[in-house]
Amino acid sequence: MDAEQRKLVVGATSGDRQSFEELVKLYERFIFGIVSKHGPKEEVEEIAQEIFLSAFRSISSLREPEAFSTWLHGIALRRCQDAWRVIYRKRRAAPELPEASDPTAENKLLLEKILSKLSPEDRTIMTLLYLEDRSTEEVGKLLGISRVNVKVRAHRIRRKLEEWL
Amino acid sequence: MDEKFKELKKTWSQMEVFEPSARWRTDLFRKLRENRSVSFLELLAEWFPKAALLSAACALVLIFISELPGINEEDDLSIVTAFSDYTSADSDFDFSMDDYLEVP
Repeated sequence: MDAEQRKLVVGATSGDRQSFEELVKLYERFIFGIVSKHGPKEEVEEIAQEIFLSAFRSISSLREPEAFSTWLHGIALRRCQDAWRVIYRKRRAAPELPEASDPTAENKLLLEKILSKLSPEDRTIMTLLYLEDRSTEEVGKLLGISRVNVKVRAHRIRRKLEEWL
Repeated sequence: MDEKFKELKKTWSQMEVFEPSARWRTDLFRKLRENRSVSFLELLAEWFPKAALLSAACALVLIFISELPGINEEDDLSIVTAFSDYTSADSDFDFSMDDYLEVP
């Protein structure tokens, strides 16, 4: 994080809205990238707004300005999980997906099918660990859980994947 | 499984990423203006007058109740006086406040 960005984060933590708006401009693509992949596609814009609003409300609690990116990433992942939770609650079983027309579309459908079978938390862990190749330590930090917890859940997810693939 | 998973990983990396629009940003900035972050002092400044107003309202209600007919100091005193007169009168009735207040 450069000095200018640090200054913006410090300004935002003390309640300066303009500093926060500058941070939004810097991080909006980063957040859209996370939500596009981790959240429901139909709600990307709405979730991205919720993430920034939630961050703005609680930024005064951010102790280390350097941790802003990780902190915002964590909020984004949790908001995506919340959105999935609402969707999962509304439906009773995994959705029936249409037949795919080509191998790429087929893989996309298979991926969606697998992810929709996992709980919102496991879904995030799987995508972070196995699709984005992040370390267990990093995943733990992002989700606010211990490394051991990540490992245990990852092991369970892997067993499910072996069964489904 | 590994081969299939590699394919899925590739699919994941190629998944569509949405872009923020100017309209989205304007809408967010409007919401931010409405949703200011609140510090402890601001919270105190917001709630202190409300708490003071509520206390004053409670005090007024209590004063009003105490002024209602039948509930005043004079009546309370007259009841105590009458009871005291009755128990101190010369009679065979053996009753004292100590007996009355004795805890079994």
